[in-house]
Amino acid sequence: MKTSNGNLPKAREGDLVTRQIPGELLVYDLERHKAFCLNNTAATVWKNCNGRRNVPQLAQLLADTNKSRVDEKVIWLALDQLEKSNLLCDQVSWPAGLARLSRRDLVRIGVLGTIALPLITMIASPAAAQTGTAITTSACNARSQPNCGGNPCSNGGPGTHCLAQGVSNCSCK
Amino acid sequence: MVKIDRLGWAAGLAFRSYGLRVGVRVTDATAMDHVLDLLPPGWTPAASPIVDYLYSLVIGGENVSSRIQRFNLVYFDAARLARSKDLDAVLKNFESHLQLTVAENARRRVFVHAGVVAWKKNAIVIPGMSMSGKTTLVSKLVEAGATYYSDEYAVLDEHGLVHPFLRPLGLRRDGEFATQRVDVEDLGGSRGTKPLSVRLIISTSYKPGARWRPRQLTTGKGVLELLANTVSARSQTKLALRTLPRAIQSATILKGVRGEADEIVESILQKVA
Repeated sequence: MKTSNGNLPKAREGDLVTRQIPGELLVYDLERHKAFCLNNTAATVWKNCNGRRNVPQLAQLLADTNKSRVDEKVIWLALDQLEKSNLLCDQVSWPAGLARLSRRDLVRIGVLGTIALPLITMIASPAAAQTGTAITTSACNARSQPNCGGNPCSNGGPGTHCLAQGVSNCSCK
Repeated sequence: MVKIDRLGWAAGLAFRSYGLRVGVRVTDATAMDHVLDLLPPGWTPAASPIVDYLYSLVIGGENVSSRIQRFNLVYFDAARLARSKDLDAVLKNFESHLQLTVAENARRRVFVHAGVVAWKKNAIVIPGMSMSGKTTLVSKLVEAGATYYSDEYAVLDEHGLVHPFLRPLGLRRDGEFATQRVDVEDLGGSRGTKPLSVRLIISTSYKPGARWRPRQLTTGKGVLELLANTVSARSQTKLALRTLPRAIQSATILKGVRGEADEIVESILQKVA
């Protein structure tokens, strides 16, 4: 992964499906099959990461949008979350002397304005079979590879799924 | 496929289900009655024999002359799905695969693994994986007077309305793993027919002794809850992201663990009242 030039973060554009809903932005990563829900703050930062704005400029932009003072630490927190979610093109070069902060840290040190702290919620999108109905062990044993399916097994023990066994068989494990 | 085609086929059927054309053929015509019971709710016979997907069931059984028991087989196009001397196991695999194929590839419909009931002409959707307790909750809601829509899939159209997916409920008795099919009428309930808007999403799982103290989720997080149970989340992502927010734009979304289903039925129905 490259490091962005002088902390001019750029939002990733390829292989993403986005959907704006009131107050939130939904983003689906087609490459990793993960879905994200960005709150308004995280979404505003992400949408304005065009590779030409630095952190102070992003903070000012967010402040103007929300008519409220915005601490740069809020932008760093957003960038940290966006980077971990693989929603930025490049890795952010973290300034020396600035520790990575969590939302809790920001609340504790009193970095709270009238805007919500950035928040990104993520889920791993399921393959079709993972959403399937549970099957019995005998039904799983009857399956042939590569069609084991991965369905949950209803009587194979907790958390077991119908998976490949040996060369051609399937079993609950 | 050619080898399979050469087998002697005794009976077959082409049908439509949620915009897909599916064919089924069997080597023993008497097995067709079993097959018909396993087709997705709302299927209709197709006039044309041209299909998108083809299932082939080779019925085994005992060869009287040699006393050798032959395998039952099921194929999906040219791929073998299952092989067993136990016909029930093979038929269960056929049903499960067919249902998933329809759910994943349905045209203009999004299938979310969920239970659905209606209360005061609004839908209550209970998304969840298998064995999360959604059928139990659905059955208790039906017993309390809610109208039955599904215990398997919330079928959403492009306007976000939820349609019935009517099949008998698959109830598990305490301590048993195998499900028993129960008609909703046997629970004193009735079946829904009309598409409805979603008013309440209950994302929950059973935990013995737990108290129902749900937290309310935003619409965006509600979409993620549904997406985590959406069969076509990967294959029809754009359709899912277009449909799910529409479906829950005016819904309340609650998430939390629950104890016994009876304890939360009243609280759920009051949310919609």
